[in-house]
Amino acid sequence: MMATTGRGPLLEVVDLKTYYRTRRGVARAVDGVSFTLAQGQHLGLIGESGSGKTTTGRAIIRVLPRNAEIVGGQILFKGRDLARLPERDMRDLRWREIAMVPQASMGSLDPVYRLGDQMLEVLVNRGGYERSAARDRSKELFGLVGLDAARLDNYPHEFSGGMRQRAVIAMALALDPALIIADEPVTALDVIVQAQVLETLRKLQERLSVSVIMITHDISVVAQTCDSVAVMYAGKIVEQGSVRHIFSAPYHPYTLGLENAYPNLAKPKDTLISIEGFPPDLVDPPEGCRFAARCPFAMEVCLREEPPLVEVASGHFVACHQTDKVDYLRIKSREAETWQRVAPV
Amino acid sequence: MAARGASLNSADIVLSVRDLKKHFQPRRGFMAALRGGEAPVIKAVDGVSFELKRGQSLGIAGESGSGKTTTARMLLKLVEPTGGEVVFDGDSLRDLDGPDLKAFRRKAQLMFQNPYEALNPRFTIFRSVVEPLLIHAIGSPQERRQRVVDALRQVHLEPVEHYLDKHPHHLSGGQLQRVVLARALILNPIFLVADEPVSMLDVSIRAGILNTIKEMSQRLKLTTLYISHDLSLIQYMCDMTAVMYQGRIVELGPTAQVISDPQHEYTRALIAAVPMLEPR
Ligand SMILES: Nc1ncnc2c1ncn2[C@@H]1O[C@H](COP(=O)(O)OP(=O)(O)OP(=O)(O)O)[C@@H](O)[C@H]1O
Ligand SMILES: Nc1ncnc2c1ncn2[C@@H]1O[C@H](COP(=O)(O)OP(=O)(O)O)[C@@H](O)[C@H]1O
Ligand code: SF4
Ligand SMILES: [Mg+2]
Ligand SMILES: [Mg+2]
Repeated sequence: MMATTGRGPLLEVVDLKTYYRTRRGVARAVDGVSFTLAQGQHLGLIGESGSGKTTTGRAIIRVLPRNAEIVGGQILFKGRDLARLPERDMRDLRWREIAMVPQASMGSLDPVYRLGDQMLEVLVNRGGYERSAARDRSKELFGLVGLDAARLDNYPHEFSGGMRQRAVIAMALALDPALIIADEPVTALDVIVQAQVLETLRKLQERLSVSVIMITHDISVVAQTCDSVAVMYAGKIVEQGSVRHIFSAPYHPYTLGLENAYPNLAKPKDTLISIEGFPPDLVDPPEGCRFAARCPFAMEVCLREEPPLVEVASGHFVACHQTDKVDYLRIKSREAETWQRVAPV
Repeated sequence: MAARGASLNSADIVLSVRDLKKHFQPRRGFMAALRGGEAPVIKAVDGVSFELKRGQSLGIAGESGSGKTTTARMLLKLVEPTGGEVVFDGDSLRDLDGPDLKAFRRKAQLMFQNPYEALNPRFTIFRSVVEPLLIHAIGSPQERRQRVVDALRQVHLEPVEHYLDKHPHHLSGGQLQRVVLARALILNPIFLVADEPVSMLDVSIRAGILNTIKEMSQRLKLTTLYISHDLSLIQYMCDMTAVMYQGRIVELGPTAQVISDPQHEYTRALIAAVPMLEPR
């Protein structure tokens, strides 16, 4: 698809496992996740709350909470394994090579400093910019995300939610990183402002070669900003492929269910159908398929054997025992009765 | 005959809102006080009028700060308007007090955005749902218990016994929102306001809550007011749509018409902003 530079992928995550120590035991929040990201590619990481999206993102840039640990797998970034990189080297990489727009990042701006000063801090202290060059770069960055450079003198509270979110994106772009991990960048914003921020991200995609991992629970955000998607469920990727594949020919019952749950202004549906039930306890996940308790198509084998990720079309991978019956699943999954076996959430 | 027809017709109107206004005078900040200036008033709601018949559902869409919640709070007499009038089921809200106010509190109910804040964390689910019956001194203990059980069943929290003695922290956001709905419906209201009732919930389970609200509104012939940023949700839920912008309704009409043939520029912007499912 994109960026077939022949230089191999920018990022290759292989069987990543990241667990949390909790009072109740070890929570297997990310449990064998693999994907690759080419230069310039925008990957959407979607899934419901608690599925492990944020943990995956934070593991890559290694800003995990104290009770978390990368217990297995590799994070190959430009040939180096970040899972094993000493913290000292990792520090050089953050901002310069990989930058994160954290979840609820509007709160990540320091209220007592002007935005321009916060930008300078990154450019001068992290990037070794001269102050005057840093000032020029700040203006350029504000322009890039559609903010008026004159507003660099403002404090965060003088910005609206959407403007603050754009400022955080500008800051992530400051040192021209190869990879940006954006965790729910528009979730807290209202529809109009959300559209503006997404438009900003889209323009960046056209102008810069930066790769993006876009973490969101909203598949419409992915539809509008990404070229490929990985769908997470309970710590695992259950389906991944190009946006075109996943939206036009989804395979996994969870993905099929998500499609039913969304209202669509352009093509209104008579009934929306939700995926009732709970995700499993990650401290004691069930054997077999982790979606089985909520899956209307679960069979005996699903409870016993974990379905492997198999390639159903070029670059399109699915972890489900019933990929061969996809035509049937697609028809059945559109019927509300199909999903009614499970208790409401 | 004619008189009778007319009165039937007006009895059909549950809510009539005329030129409703709410202006807030922000307290002067320190700097403004030094300069001696007055902070400008915020015209949160600035002349809103509409009528709702029994069984109708109205969606209010509009960006953050456009005055949706403030409007809803005035309709429920939770804040007093700066101007204008709300007539509910034949009575002006302005003069309501004593038993009439209490009757109004029974007939008009609100569903909050955040189910975690709406329920007392120390109460069991039974206690939360029975609370309105206790406040209004309705029924014997046995009757009250039966009504709670029925209400929980109606919102599909089954088996009901499984939920009665649980506390909110044992339930998911979606289940809590069902509890909130059960509590709102237990007094047999005629009017329900739902202010962003699913925006805190995971998309995969929103549909179940929306469908339950829809089902109950139809069964009880409720008049509903549904507030959301998201026109696609309003399209799914409401016969009528009002678009608010800066404290005013800039467009009002049957939902299908407003969405397929928007007249106001701001409505068009709002429609364009709704995220589309199709990949670009
Ligand atoms: N108690 C108050 N004091 C001062 N201003 C207020 C108060 N309540 C609301 N406002 C202001 O009134 C305007 C409308 O607010 P309201 O909460 O009705 O908006 P809304 O349309 O519900 O927005 P949202 O979609 O963000 O919930 C805003 O400018 C808000 O800041
Ligand atoms: N600091 C933490 N300590 C313990 N468990 C955590 C912590 N952060 C997240 N988790 C758990 O890890 C799982 C994945 O969480 P997260 O990565 O935040 O998911 P998402 O971003 O998809 O909502 C969840 O079960 C969550 O409860
Ligand atoms: S493996 Fe079985 S339970 Fe899991 S998604 Fe496929 S059919 Fe459903
Ligand atoms: Mg998260
Ligand atoms: Mg509001």
